[in-house]
Amino acid sequence: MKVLIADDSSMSRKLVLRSLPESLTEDIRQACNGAEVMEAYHAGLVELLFLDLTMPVMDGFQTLEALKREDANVVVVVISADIQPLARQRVFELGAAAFVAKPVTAEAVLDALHLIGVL
Amino acid sequence: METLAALTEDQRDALQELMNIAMGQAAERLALLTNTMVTLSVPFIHPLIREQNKLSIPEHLRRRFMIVTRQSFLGELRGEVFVCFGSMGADKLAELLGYNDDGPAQQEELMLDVTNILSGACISGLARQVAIQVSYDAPSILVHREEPTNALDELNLNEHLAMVLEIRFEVQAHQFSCDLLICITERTAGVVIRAIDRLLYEL
Repeated sequence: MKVLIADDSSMSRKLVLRSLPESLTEDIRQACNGAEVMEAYHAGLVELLFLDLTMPVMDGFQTLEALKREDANVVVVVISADIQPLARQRVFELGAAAFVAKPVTAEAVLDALHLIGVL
Repeated sequence: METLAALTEDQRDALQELMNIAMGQAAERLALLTNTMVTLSVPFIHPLIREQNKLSIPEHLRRRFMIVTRQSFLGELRGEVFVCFGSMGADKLAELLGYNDDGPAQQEELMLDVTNILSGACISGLARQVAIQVSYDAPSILVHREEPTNALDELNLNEHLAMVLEIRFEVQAHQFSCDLLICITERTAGVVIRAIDRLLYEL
């Protein structure tokens, strides 16, 4: 499965990467903002996306909107510190499959992946 | 300024991420209070630059702040939070919270409540992640100008403050925004950075 971790923090990307089972780390890439996500998507490199919301250049909400506009066939797991109820509601309206609150833990990521049927 | 000058890219990234998590918790509290969605900025970290005892204000903060509140925090992490409100800050805040009486006393009380909520959540969120204890003084109004101006020009800073973490909270639907300047002392910035080093080591 082609996996992309999008977060402007390298520490956060490493934490997500460390949380993933080996089966999901065989074809994995990283992005620092939504523009890089869209570039990777257009290159056919994204099937499962771990997406932060607060990023420079193009944030997570804008990225979800862009993916929705293109009717993208991408499973999106939002991993964010923005834990407001309305933020969660909005990401699901924009097509996210799961939401994991930061600080991220391996258990929470695995639970989300099981819940949406990726694992 | 030894600690700050020596901040590596990884340390700065980690501190920014810890602050991002802390401000997310603050935004949730503000969102619950106002029943709105709060837009968060990417936190910005920089050394505090003084001209004599005044803050050298970065260009992007050269707006017309009219009210600045302050709240000190103490313990293993020490410093001050300054919350900067624009000219319509009090009115917009009252509107958000559903208050009709907009007398000056009530406006100030609202500002202080929001200061307490945001600075408490941000600092406690940061402290919790690096496993240190903090306590707080009561918030107070530092500057309240009647004329449109940049109240930050009037900030007199404790000489031990060294690091600034900048965060903007915005409620777009109500055109409300405020900027938090979290200033940390040089000595306790070192405590945070050592904790960050431990986190990075464990990665």
